Amino acid sequence: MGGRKGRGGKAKKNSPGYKDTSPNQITLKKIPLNLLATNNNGSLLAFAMNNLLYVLALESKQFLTIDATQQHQLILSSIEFQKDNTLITTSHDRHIKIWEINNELTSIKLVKSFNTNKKIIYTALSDKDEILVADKCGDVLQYSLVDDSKNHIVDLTVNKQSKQDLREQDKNLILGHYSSITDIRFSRDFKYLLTSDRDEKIRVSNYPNAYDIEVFCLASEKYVTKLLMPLNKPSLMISGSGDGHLYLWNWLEGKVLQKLDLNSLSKDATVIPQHYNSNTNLLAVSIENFNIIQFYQLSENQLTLSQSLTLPVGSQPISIDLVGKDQYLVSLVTMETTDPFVLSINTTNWQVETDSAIVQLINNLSIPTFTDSTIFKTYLHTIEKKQYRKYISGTDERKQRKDGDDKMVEDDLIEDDDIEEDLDPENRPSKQIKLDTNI
Amino acid sequence: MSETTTTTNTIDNKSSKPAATKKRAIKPYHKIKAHANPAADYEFDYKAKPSEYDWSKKYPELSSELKEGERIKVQVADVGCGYGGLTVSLSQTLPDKVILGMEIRAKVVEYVEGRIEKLREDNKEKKLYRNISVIKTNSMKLMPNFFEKGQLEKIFFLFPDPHFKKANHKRRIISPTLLAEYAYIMSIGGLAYFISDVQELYEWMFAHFKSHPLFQQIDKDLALSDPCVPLIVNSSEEARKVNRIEGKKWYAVFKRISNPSEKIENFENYTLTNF
Ligand SMILES: C[S@@+](CC[C@H](N)C(=O)[O-])C[C@H]1O[C@@H](n2cnc3c(N)ncnc32)[C@H](O)[C@@H]1O
Repeated sequence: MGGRKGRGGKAKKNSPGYKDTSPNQITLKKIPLNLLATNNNGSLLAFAMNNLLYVLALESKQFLTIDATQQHQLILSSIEFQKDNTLITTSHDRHIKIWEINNELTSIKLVKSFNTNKKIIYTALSDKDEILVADKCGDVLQYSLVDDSKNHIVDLTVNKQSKQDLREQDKNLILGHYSSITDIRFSRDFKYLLTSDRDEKIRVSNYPNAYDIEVFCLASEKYVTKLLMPLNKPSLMISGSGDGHLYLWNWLEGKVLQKLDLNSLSKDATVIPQHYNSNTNLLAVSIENFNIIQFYQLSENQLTLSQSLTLPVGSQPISIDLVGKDQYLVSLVTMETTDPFVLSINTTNWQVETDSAIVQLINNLSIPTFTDSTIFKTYLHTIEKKQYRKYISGTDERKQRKDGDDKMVEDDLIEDDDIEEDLDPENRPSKQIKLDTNI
Repeated sequence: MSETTTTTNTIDNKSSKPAATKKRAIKPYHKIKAHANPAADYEFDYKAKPSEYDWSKKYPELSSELKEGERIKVQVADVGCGYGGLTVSLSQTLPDKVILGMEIRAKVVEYVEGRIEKLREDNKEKKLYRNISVIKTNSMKLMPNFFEKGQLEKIFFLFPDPHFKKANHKRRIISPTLLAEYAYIMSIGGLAYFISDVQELYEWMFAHFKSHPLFQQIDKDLALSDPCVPLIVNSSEEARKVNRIEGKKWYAVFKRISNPSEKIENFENYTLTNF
C-alpha cells in the first residue's frame, strides 16, 4: 500500500519528482574555489581552483609558492590534511599527491605523487597511512601512502588487458556501490567505514574487512549529499539529502534520531551539512543554489536551529570551513569575473563579512587565464556531479555514459526496444552548456 | 510433485544469444525483452527500510493468519525469477517458508503474478501457494530496502543474464562488491544456489563466491541431498529450455559463514553438472 515510487537516484522524466530546473545555458567566466580545508591547529588553509592548489599560512597571510609543474593536471577532487603539516590532494588526473609544509609555514614541497589510474571523486584518510578513494564507478579502493608495494597499480601503457579485466582483478578494491558514491567517512575509531550514494543509501562497512557490511542507514528518499561524523559524539552521524532533509543518526544501529525538514526554505532543497565544530557543537548547513546558511546546535541527540543567515543576493555556498575560532570561510559559486570567491561569517556577532582581511586576500587573487575550453567542460562536469546537484537531476545519464570509463555503458544485448517501460531515458531534455572562454 | 507442468509453454523466453533473424510476433509475451538493462530507468515500489514495506498485500492469506504484532518475513529469494518456475516449485518443497521471486521486467512480473493468483485460486481448499509471491525490483540495487540483515535463509540465482561483453560485467548479478550485500541480507548458515548453462558465467560466479571471505562451498553429499538442488536444475523455464536443446548446466551451493576464520582451508571445491 502506498509504496514509494522512485528509482533511487534521479527522478524520471514525467514522474512527479522530476523537475528540470537547470538553466538552459550556463555561462562561466570565473572558476569558483572549492574544497576548503584547514589543518587541526588552524595555521593553514588550503583550497583549489580547478587544477590549482593554493595553500595560505593564516597567521602571516602568505600564500605558499607552489611550482606550477608540480600541480595536478585536472580539477582537484579532494584536499585533506593528514597531519598539521602534511597535505594529501587527489584529482581527476588520477594522481594522489602528498605535500609537506615546513615548520615555519613558509614553503611547501611535493614529496610524493602517484598515478592510481582511477578517476578519484572522494577520499578518506585512515589512521594507518592509507587513503581510501572512491572512483567514478562506485568502487572504493585503498592505497598506502607510504608503502608502494601495497599499491597494485598497473601501467596501462604496458598492460594491454581490458579496463574491465583490470577492474575485476584490482587488489586494491575494498568495496563497491551499485551507483556513484557521494561521500566516504571513517568512524572515529576507524573500525567502520561509511559510504553514501546516489541511491539514497548510506552503508556502514567493517574496516578493514569492508566485505562485511555492518548495517545500512536507510531513510533518505533521494541521493545522499554528504556525511559528517561529529568527533566529540562518535555514535552520531549527520547526513543531508536531495529530499530536502537533514538527518541525525545513530549510525551503528542504522537509526534516524532526528529528521529536519528544510523544504520550507527552498522547494526541492538539496541539503548539504557542511561543517561540524566539535568545540562549539555547531553544525553549518547550506542548501544548494540558495543564499542561506543555517547553524544548528547539537546537544545530546538533538539538533536545534540556532542561526539562519542570509547571504548577499545571488551567493551560493559551495564549501564551508573554519579559519579561526570564530570565523567561517564560505566559498561561493562564481560566474562573472566580478563575483567574489569567498565571504566569511563571524560567529561572535553572526555577521556576514564581505570584506574581512582573509576575504579580501582571497578575493584579490588573480584569476588565471584558462585558454583551454576543455578545462571549463571538465569543471562544469565535475561541479555538476559534486556541488550543483540540482543540475544532476536534469542531466541525462547518457551524457555521462559517453566518456569511455563511466559505469554506464550501452546495452547492445537488448533485442527489442519497443516496450514502453523499458525505454531508455534518451528523450530527456538535454541541457546546453555555453562555454565562454574569452576571458 | 511437479507443479512446473502448469507453466504456459507458449511463452517465448528468448534465447540469450541474439537470433539471427527477427522472429514474427506470434506469442502473447513476444515483446518482452530477453534481457533487462539494470542500469536503465525503472519505477519500483519500495520503502526506504524493509520494516516499512507492507508484505500483507503480497501474502494476503498468510498475513490474515498472523498473530498480533507479527510480521511477514521473507526467508527465501529467487533473484531474477523470470517466469517463476522455481518460485512455484519451492512453494511445496519449502512449505513453511515465505518465498519471494524478484524480477525486473514488468511484463514478466505481471505474468508471474497472474500465475500465482491462478494457482492459489485453483488450490484454495488445499491452501496451497500462499507462501509465494513476486515483486518487480532491481535486485542489484534494492536488496537492502527489502531485507534486513541476516534475514534470508536461501537465495537463488538461476541462469542469470550472462552479459557477455566485458564492459557489461558490472551488470552481472554476481560480483565481489554485490556479494557483500547478499552476505549482509543472508542468515549465518544460509545457502546461496547458482546455476548457469554458460560455462564462463558459471566460472565467474563460482570464482567470486569462492574468494569471498563470508562464503564457503557446502559438502558435496550435503548439496546432493538438498531437496532444492533438483529444482535449480530442472524447475525453471530457463532450465527446461536448456533441457530441450540438451544443453549443459553447471551449478554449486555456498553457505554464508559468520567470519573468514570459518572458511575451511584446503577445501576441495567441486562443480556439479548435468552431464
Ligand atoms: C535468463 S533469465 C532466468 C530466469 C529464471 N531464473 C529461470 O531460470 O528461468 C534472467 C532473469 O533475470 C532478470 N533480471 C536481470 N537483471 C535483474 C535485476 N537486476 N533484478 C531483477 N531481475 C533481473 C531478467 O529480467 C530475467 O528474467
